[in-house]
Amino acid sequence: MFESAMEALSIVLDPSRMLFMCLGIGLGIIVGLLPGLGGTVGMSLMLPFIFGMDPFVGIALLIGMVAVIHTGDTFPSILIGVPGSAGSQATIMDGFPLAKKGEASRAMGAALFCSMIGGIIGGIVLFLAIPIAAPLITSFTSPVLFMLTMLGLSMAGLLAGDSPAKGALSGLLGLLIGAIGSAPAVTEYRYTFNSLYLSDGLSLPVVALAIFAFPILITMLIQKGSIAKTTHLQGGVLKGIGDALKNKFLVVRSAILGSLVGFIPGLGGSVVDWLAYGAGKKTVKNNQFGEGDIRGVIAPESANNAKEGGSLIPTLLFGIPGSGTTAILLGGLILMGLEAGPKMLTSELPVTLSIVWTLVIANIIGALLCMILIKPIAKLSLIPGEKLVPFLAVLLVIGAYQSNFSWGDLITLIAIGLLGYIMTILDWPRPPLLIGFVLAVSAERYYWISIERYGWEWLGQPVVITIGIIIVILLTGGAIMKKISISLQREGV
Amino acid sequence: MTVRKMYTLTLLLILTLFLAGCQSLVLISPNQTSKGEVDYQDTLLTMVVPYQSGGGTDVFARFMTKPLSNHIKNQPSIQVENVPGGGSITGTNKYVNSYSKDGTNLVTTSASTHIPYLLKQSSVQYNLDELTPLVGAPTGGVVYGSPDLKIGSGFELKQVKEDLFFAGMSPTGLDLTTLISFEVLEIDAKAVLGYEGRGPARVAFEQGESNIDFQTTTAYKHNIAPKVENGEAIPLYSLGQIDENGEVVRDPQFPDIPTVKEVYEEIHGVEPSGRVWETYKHFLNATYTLQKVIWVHKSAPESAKNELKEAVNKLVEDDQFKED
Repeated sequence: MFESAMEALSIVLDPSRMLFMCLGIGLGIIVGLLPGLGGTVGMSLMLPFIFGMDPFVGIALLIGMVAVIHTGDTFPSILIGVPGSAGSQATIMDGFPLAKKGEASRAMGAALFCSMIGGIIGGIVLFLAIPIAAPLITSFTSPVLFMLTMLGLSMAGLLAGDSPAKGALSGLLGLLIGAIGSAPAVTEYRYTFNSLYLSDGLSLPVVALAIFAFPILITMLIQKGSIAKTTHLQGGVLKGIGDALKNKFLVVRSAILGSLVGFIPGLGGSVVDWLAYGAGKKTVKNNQFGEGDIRGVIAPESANNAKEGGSLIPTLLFGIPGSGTTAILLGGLILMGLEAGPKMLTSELPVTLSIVWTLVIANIIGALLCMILIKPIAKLSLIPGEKLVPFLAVLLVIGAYQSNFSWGDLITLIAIGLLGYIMTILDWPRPPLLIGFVLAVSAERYYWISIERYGWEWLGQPVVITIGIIIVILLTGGAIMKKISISLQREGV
Repeated sequence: MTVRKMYTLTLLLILTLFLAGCQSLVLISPNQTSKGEVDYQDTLLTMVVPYQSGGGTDVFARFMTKPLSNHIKNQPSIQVENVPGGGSITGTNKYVNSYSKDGTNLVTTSASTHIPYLLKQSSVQYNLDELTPLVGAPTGGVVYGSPDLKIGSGFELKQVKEDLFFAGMSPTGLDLTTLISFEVLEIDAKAVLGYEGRGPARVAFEQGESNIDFQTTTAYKHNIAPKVENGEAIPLYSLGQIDENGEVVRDPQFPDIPTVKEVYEEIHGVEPSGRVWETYKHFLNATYTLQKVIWVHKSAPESAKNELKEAVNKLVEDDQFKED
């Protein structure tokens, strides 16, 4: 295995392939940088050019692009509080407050460095998982997957902020929105009002943009003034890297969580940043998450790049795409004459290994490239808000319209966007809504399958019970801890 | 300073618009030829694909464009336009309603476009009778079982003692034909639906969550055939293909696997007949024998249709194409 890995490295480092990888990286960063455009758009752009390409060249292009999307999408999240792609929303929570304090460069430095480390860890996980992937994937039966979606949903509670009730309601609202469209197992349509647009359900990029980016535009217009409250930008890139190094365990922990979530097929890797953020909030001591804590940037940024490595395992070995991006990647492989499946481990092993190397190398190049860009781009946060809004509004509309090329996308953007704005005014937490939305279909799907296949027997499976206990601890643990800390505070007073 | 930043932003915006433009592949209105003469010179043909880019139908359509264009006079470029949504109904509706019927617009459909039409779903606005098929690509399907069933072939299906579980997607998708084949054979398999696709259904088979499953030709050859050699899966029967006489015959891709029809005859001693069997044949034709079809509007100019048909005929006989 090691020998073939070295062989694959020499294939990847071939100058002509490196050129294509750099092309992919460039495009990936741009697509990530522009709010609303994500991996799916990048992939569809490249697909027409892939046809008949040498697989190694094509893979350098595609994987190079995918690898750095979550590096580039950090810019808008931190600088203007608008998610660069669906995978970098959690970065806003602390990155944006940091930018407001004028510490944008520091946050960017930390985020990019973590993206790089996370991406490399993702690549390593992919490499290590190759020999054991098959038994691992088959161990995730439907009841286990159902319990994992429940675990993800209970994370919504962690992100609820001060009021668990508001968090729960927001999560339920998300589940409700996620239920729009055709049911996973039967041909029932829900809340579609005979509209074909709604029959597919709402698409994630539109909802994510609406719920996070739309309200910020209104806020910018109302508040006026630039995002950074101070006129000079303090705290350099190096300080950010130093912050990341100080929290190396958090980086590694989040990256491993990221690759694991990406690896589990059907769990929706798109909430991985929130899960890492929630887990970080729970485990980091003395944190001020949500008010500009640098660790709130480190956790999600380490996880979202690491996710790509994990999500490639089921895609390559089983032909099961975990996301829109990997679904198109599968099509791209076929266009290059490759077929995802067990062969990727035997006769096509060099291709698989070249993917691992491309992931690692692209993450390094991408992060370095972005670090050079920090200085000019960080100045965006000094521009007065009302001058930014028109540009952002156009980007937002285009980003949303990319989902289905339909008027429905724009109507959804405005409708959900207004909901998001109302939620910000009422101080309701929005992350639980998004988690509910993403997990709604999976939760229903696996619950339905579990009941249909096993009756109620599945509730007795050891893994199911274990995850159940973890959920209970997560949910009650927080409340109990809070009570203790409140009573301690009272005693202090 | 601010002015310069604004320039940068404008540049970014133009870039996005450009990227967005590339993706949606804006419709370019074709050269209308008024007098029936079709020469397709400087014309851009559009191939509508009612699915997201990267899917099976999209890959098929993209694969076909180049060789198809080579066989049309003046070799016009054919560009693929994805109109996803509504499980391919949106795009096909749009094709029949808003694309000009001048022979420059084609559409590629697949089984999941044909089934809603056959089931007369209310959202379907297209009528396949109003489209002229140019070329179709068949696929086949093989039903296989787990070794736990303790049978050696489909002929012994009636001796299975275990409960049969089938993992599928939805009752109106590609699974429908397999489910009807269970009806034909009177197999009492519990259909557990809701899986995301044939891939996850295959994993469910490996997990033991299902013990009878089917895969289409390519997936079967890639993923199941090696399992059959290792004794981890047992081929039971193939769904067969429909021949010119409308009869079910052995799939040329799987000459050694008996069809549903043969299994039925072995078990019951008579040929299958009746309503269920007729329905089965109907669906087999629409979902497998004609799994992917390229169509043109029926009301397109005759000359254009003839030119396209000729191109397709030449294409089918092209040896180099066959190799691919």
